[in-house]
Amino acid sequence: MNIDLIVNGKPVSVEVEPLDRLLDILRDKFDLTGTKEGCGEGECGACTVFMNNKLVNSCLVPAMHLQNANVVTIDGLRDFDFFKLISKAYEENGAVQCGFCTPGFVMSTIDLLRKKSEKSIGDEEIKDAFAGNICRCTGYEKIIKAVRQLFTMNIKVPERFYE
Amino acid sequence: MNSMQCYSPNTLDEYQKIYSGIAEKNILVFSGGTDLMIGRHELSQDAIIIDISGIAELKGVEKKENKIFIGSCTTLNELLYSHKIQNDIPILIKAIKTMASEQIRNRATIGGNIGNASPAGDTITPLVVLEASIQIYSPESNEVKTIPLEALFSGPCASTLQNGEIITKIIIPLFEDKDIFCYFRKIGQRNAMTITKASLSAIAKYSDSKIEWIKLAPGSVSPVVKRMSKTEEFLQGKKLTPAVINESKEIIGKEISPITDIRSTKAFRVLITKNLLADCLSELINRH
Amino acid sequence: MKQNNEVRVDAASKIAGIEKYTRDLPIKNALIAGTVRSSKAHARIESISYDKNYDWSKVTILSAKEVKNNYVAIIKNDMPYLADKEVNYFGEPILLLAAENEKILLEAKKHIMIEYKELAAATTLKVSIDRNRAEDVFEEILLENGEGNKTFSTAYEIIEDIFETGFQEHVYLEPQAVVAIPDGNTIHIKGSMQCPYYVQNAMNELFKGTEIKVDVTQIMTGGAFGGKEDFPSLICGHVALLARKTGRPVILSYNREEDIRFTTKRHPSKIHAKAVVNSDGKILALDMDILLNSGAYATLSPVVLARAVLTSFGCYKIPNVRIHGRAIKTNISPCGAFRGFGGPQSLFAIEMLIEKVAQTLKIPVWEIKKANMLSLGDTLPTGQPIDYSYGLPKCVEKILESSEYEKKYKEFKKYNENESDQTNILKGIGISLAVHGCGFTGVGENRIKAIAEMELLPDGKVLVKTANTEMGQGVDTAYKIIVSEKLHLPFDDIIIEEKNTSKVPNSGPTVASRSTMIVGKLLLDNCERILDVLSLKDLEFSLQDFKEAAQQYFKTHDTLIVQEEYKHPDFISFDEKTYKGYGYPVYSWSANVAEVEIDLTSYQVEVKKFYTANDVGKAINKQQSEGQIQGGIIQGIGYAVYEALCIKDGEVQNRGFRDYIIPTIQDIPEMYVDIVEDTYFNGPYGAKALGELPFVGAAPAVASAVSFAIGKTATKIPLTPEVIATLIENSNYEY
Repeated sequence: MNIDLIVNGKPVSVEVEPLDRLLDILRDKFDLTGTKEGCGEGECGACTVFMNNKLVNSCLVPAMHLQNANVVTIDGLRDFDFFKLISKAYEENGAVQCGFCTPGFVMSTIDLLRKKSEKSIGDEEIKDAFAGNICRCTGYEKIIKAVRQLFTMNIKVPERFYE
Repeated sequence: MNSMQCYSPNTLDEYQKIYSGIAEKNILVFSGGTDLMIGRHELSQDAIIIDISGIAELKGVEKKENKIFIGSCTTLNELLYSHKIQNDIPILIKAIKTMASEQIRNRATIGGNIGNASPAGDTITPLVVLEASIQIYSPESNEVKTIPLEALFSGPCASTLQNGEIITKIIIPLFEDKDIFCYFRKIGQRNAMTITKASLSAIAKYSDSKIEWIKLAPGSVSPVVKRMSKTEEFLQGKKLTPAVINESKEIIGKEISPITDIRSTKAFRVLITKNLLADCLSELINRH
Repeated sequence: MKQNNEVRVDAASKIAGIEKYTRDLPIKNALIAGTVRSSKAHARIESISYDKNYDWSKVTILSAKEVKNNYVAIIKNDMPYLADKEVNYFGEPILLLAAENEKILLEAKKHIMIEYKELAAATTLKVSIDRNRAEDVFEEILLENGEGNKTFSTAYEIIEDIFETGFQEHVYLEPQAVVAIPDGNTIHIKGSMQCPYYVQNAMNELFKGTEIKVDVTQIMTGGAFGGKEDFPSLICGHVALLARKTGRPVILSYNREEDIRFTTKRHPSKIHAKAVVNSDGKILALDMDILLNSGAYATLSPVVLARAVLTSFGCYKIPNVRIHGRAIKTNISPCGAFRGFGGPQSLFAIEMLIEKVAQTLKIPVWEIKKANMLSLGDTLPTGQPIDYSYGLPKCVEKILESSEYEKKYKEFKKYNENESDQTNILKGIGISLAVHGCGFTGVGENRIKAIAEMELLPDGKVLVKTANTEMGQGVDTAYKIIVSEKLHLPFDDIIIEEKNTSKVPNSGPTVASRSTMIVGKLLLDNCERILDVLSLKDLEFSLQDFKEAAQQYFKTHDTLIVQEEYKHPDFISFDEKTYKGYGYPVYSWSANVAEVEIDLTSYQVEVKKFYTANDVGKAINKQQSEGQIQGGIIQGIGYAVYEALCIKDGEVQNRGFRDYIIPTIQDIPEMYVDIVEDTYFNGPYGAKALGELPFVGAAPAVASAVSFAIGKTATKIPLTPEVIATLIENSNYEY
């Protein structure tokens, strides 16, 4: 089947099988390799992207759901100003080690930042937001620290991207 | 290799037409797909997919005549953030909060969780104690019927749906009485992203230091989720003395029939189901 | 050296998703590889047949018959690339396939029929031990000191138990992935790996006697923890063979299910430990029988066992020991390297044996540990004196203070007596002392003769050439810090050469927490040599001075390449027969306190707080040192509480992250990390091992806290709720 969708703001058209995964379409057809596959079953969050403005595991989204969808990946977000602040917080707090889970954590961070306007955040709230992101290197502590810091910085994250 | 055939109807009418046009009837009804996508390589290549997630009638939450109607393709997060559900069905919110992650709850639907008919389905036990019913649409008769939710399950991960039948709505009766105790607790293998080893949903009316009535549905400990009628009957009208609690634990321990699988053992599931009941009853006492 | 708290050099590119991992590489015209595996734990292959009605023109098939040197070169060279006549574990590779895409592979696999004649299989350690065959012992080590176990006949009190630890899967987030690209008679191998020279050596053996040459490049590796130490040699062989046969690039990447079920795991252990103690809890003698379940092939088991033996006396002074270790063959997927490498198994045994001593003698466990702890100048049972870089006492001081251990010990006892009935929660506090021998065991480093190279470039930049790979631990940044500190160059002027075996010398594998201590020191020595050539040695100089000196040098020279080869200091020797001497040139130490709560409804252990102090000699990069320690603790908590591999008749039942349970962000305790710096004279700026140390002490601290909570010694991990219920309720709830 042929589907039309918008990926990182660009309208694209692609020939797919109904059950092809969004993850593979992004990586193989559009060379958007910032989105990673860690488990292929929606558990690790390394493949997290926005689809129609909602955070999803791209490994669980079938091509047939993508007709007219608006998909935004880490590759489409890195040039926004707010991204630089997120990057800085992750860097300076040591929130990155092997880095394979990191794009997924960053996507969940963006989702959390855009949804919440308060300047502070409780650890429980952070832990709820990252329940679907697994990291094996850092022990999570420094990621939590980076996110806590981001909430003190009054970062403006748009509610929607490329719409 | 041929491409799998796939249809995405926008209305039940379209669904009916598509269904009628398929001779072999080897259809695969697809909604959020969070379970089906994991096993997509094992799906029959000849199956014809009908994706019902775009059917407008199957979405959203509505309150009518003291009942809540939930469209089967409503996602778990839509329910979690729905004020109607938050206020009127707190037990369901408690259950959904323990389920999966933000990413998955944005995709997984309540109809999918129910339709999978897994004894570990976390929305099922609260709905069973709430005595929810479901609407089922049959494309063959082009009719909708309503059955009690419990009647949907015929075995572990097996439902009574047939011939293209799909769940359209979940109907939950609301209580006039606002003073109803509700309990949901799930025991998994860790705190987040966990599949249930055993769980318990309960609602109860407690007055004059007695249980007026109680409805209990444990998860993941029987081939299908069902009410614990013997335990409920035993507890009805009782004062919750230590002896009564102990006896009720023994009764529920006999009323369930868990198995050993990769997540836990039969003996352990019996033990923690008894503990969950004790925990539920002690919370009930403390609440009043 | 100043306190460095540097941002990782690769952080920004990883955050932005720009960093390329193996599967992100653009590889043109590549075939995808797949593996046809054994469905029996032990069997003779009777026949392999291919469905005649299937179109095989799109599939390349490769079998053992086509592999001349069919054994992976590593220690014993007993594991075949492809099983030929016999399979020794469920999942053993039998055939390789290559095709244009995954779908063809999946379909083709359905049309291959393999017939087996099943043979007796030992799928558990018990079966293998009971059948008592010499050929099932991959390695046996005996270490005796003093009276050995003779003291046991006249003992005051003998306290003993059997301690068991489980499998553990690494769960690096990036699954195994390698590619082979043919280029004339050369095959370029690229992949996610720790040790490009291990792969290079294996490929040299595989293609010995042919015209094929191989070079190996490590690509940014998304976590490893030992799981990409020995294993990549096998799959690099697979892609190299397929690339040679097809003449096209071949990609092999495991999905998570394949990775969990068929790659190496941490060796499970069963350790019978006995102590002779006097009435004060002073340990007079220790007898240990260590069994490691090695799986079907030896791989690294002999050296894993060596470390288990040399870690078995923990941080204690024990005059008489008899340590007997055996690595045992079973018909399961081979076990391999994993952070700690044998140490976590025997350290668990000694720490929990002391727990048992404490509970038997009714003396608080910390009293026993304190009474037996090594003091500076004491001698290990190997005869090695601990007379330098011994920061354990300082670590102990730090955690006793930060955790308020002694105060909470009393409070928690009271809580469990008075309040548990109401709250349905048991509290526990536990303490562990841990040690990790730094670098390779014994004379291993002298055998490797690691070489690190540096090149001064005409623009005054330097090129750092080592084979030590970045897999998340921060080695590239650590090397830049080491060199920058010495040469006063900014990070941008220090270039880390690609980890390609045709470009960098063999500085040894990236394992054993050796990269900073051993190779980092070689880099520091290289810096000295460059300064010497530039006549800047022992002088105060600025970046400007350095650049000018370099300019000056290149007026009369074309190149400046310096090389250093590692050798232990002369007094370090080790006898591999008696296991006497310096097991390691130096040790890293840690002290840990864990606080747990056990919920009596669910029997779940939740680690609430974790205090740790680690003597790492010198933290080259504080930020990343802390991160490694925190990550190690959480992986250790996973080992202690959550991570259970379920094997039935030799077949791993776990299929992915849904049923192999590792800690999520909601399962972590509050962590308090202290770093102690008792410098090592032969490490760069005093640095010694860090990577494995924090893992080793975590599980015993948690198990000690659990023992406190339930009033019984926890003798095995993982302490899943089923195990906890069994311990508390005196009835079996386990599998």
